[in-house]
Amino acid sequence: MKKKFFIRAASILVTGSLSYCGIILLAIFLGLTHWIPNFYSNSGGIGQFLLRMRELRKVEDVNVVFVGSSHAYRGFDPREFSTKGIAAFNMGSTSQTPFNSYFLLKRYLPVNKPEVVVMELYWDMLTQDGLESTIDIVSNTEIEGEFVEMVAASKNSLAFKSLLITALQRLHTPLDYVEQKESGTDVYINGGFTQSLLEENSLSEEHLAKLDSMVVEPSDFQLNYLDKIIGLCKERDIKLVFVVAPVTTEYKAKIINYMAYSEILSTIAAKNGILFLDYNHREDFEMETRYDFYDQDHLTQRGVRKFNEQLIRDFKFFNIINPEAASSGTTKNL
Amino acid sequence: MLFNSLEFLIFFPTVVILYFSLPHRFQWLLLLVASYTFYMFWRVDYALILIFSTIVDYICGRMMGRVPEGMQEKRKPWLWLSLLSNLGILFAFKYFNFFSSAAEDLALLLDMEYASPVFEFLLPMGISFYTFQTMSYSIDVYYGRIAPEKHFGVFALFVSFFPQLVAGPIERAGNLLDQLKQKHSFNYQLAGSGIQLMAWGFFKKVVIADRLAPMVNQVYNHPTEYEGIPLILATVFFAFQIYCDFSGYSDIAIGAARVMGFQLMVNFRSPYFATSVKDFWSRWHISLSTWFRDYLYIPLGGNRVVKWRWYYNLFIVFLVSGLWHGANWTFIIWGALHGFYQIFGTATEKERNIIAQKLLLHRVPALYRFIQIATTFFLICLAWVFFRANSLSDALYITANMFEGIPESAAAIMNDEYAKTKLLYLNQLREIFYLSSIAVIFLIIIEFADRGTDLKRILSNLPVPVKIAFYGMAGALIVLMGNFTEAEFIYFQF
Repeated sequence: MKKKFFIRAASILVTGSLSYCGIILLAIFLGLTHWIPNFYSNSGGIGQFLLRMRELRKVEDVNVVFVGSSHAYRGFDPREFSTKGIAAFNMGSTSQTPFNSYFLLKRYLPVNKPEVVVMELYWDMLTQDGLESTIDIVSNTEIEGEFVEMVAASKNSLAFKSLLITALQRLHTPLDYVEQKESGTDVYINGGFTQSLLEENSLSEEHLAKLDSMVVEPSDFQLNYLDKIIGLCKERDIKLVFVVAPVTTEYKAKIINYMAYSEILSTIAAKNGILFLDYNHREDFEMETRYDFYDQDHLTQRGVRKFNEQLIRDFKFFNIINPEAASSGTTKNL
Repeated sequence: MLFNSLEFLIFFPTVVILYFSLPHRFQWLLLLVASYTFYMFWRVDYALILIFSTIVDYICGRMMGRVPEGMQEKRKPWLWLSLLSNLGILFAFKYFNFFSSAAEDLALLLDMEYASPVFEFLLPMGISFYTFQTMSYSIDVYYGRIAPEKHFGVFALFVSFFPQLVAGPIERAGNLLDQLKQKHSFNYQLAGSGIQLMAWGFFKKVVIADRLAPMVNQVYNHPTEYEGIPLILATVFFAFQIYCDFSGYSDIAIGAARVMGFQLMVNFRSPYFATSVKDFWSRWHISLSTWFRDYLYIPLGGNRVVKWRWYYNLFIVFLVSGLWHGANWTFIIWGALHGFYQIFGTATEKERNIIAQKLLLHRVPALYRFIQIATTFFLICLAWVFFRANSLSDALYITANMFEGIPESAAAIMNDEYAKTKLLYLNQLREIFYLSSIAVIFLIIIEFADRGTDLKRILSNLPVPVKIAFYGMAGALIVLMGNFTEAEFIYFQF
């Protein structure tokens, strides 16, 4: 009786798994994936990570790589660095947390051999589980060891589903043939940057005043991966820089424990000899809410320019990278 | 631990395999350890309340058992001790802050100074369920309906049996205690039917309830942004959300117990096919409504009293039922509204029958039945507004504006894509809205069909390969369509 039960249960499990894959494949081939709520894929979707990864595969050595969330891929413009002779590539992606950055760096540091890794540490990313970015990365890259490892380390069933869906999608459309979905206000710029065409925001004072207050509590999980990134860079003798990109002063004011958050990063940085630059917290750098941001926390191109110019000056001042020396380097294949 | 979690997916098969592998004398111990593990996944320290309630009721039961039958007076102090302990726990954790703040409001009204103390307790999960279960045990022992349980371990398992511990069904000792002592061998039919019921429960929970929840929350958390169609839609969706959430839990609980050979009581019987509010309460949360019938309504005199007292009894029972659901005025009004429905329904039964006859509705029974079901559903939905609303003022706003501006919202939905997303899809993707609606219609069809035909029998008579393919496909669809964010069951808060 028990044997019969287990045989039938196993048969149902196998049939169920086959049906699961079959329904997904059918939806992919019929173009009906939007009717499956649990179709966890961001292939060619928001964040333009597909284009970024497609370009990265052709890039060899660079001086600087940037990692982080939208604050990174919308905040560090490689063109600004290039004018100073610094070859840079932006590996930022949607909601990329230190957990995700670690696996991206593990995969690409040996290939791109940067001298400097700049980590943008928007506070929200240290409180998340990294699932959104895991799905984004898996959806827009080839299925590679580091990313399978990332899925396993996420211990989240949705990440596994996303990996399976990606594998099935590749049967229909190989990665090279996936198309990037259009976004009306965003343009992809070589070097991994996403430029917003918006030149200002229309946020009212009332709206900004009504933003929810927040207490930031970085998770041990993300802090642990921050440590792993430090180790990874030390192993390869790469300079690591922590940066918190500017947000509107109104938005920053809503972070009740901002100083404590900044202190956590500053302590980690000091302990490991890492330069920590917080652009929300210095007197010699000011941004204008209306024209430097297109929303409460993302920069317009004017804001990006101001921010990047200051960052390059800081790099020079702290001797992180010498623009002149960098420009005399050899393989800057961008 | 949540039924809809990865932990349960590992926990349950492990417990079942161990249960059927162990000798009978150790089975209760395994289930007891499993039940406490299940509970402590949520919070370890609150298991102490469960232990306290178990010890007190065990002692009270044993002490009452020592008093010979017919000398109930001597049993009374032990019954009181049991009732006061359980009600005391409930009061302290669930109602203290509510009554304290009500006292403060009253003092303010009387121009007196009173600052109410507030205790920041987290409501122990399932407290209303297990305290009611143990109180019924004590009352049954008091009246001599059952013998007190001598085996402390088995009694502790009766209080904490994990399938029904946190959200019922509220079992009676007469049904469950004996089963806990019996030897259960693996039964293929029971295991199959239990898993089938669990799958149906999961479907109701993750595909219907948890998909409807974001749409309902959108409207009920910002009610003043809406009027007309979205308020109606969100309320109807809530009716199905709460039904699928709660009956889904019951199905999983009953199914899980059935896999191990236990028969728990039925808790729902297609409540939205009820033809009157009275009928609704014989189909909705049956284990609670029969509890109130047996331990409150009948002791109050039931309907064997003068008319005004009968109505009073009905009203009190529903008022208490409202309070059982939550320490908030919205729940009390929800209960009072149901009490009013019951009284009005009873008082006007004759007149309503006369009207129906004059309208010749008796000649078209299907139409008459449809009108009765629709009217009952409307009344139930109206009461759900108070149950779901975040505050009394929100509930009043929703009831006042539900039928306002319907033509305007309809016109906006027809002509404007943005309005369609906000007012029809309730800020969800179009596909989610349609899939959820289709799932609700599917549920209605299945429940309607199940009234006349035995769907389970039809299914079990299918050839084995067809059955396997059907179950496999159904499982795949649940995984693809469900919302697996590990949302808690609504009734956990009660």
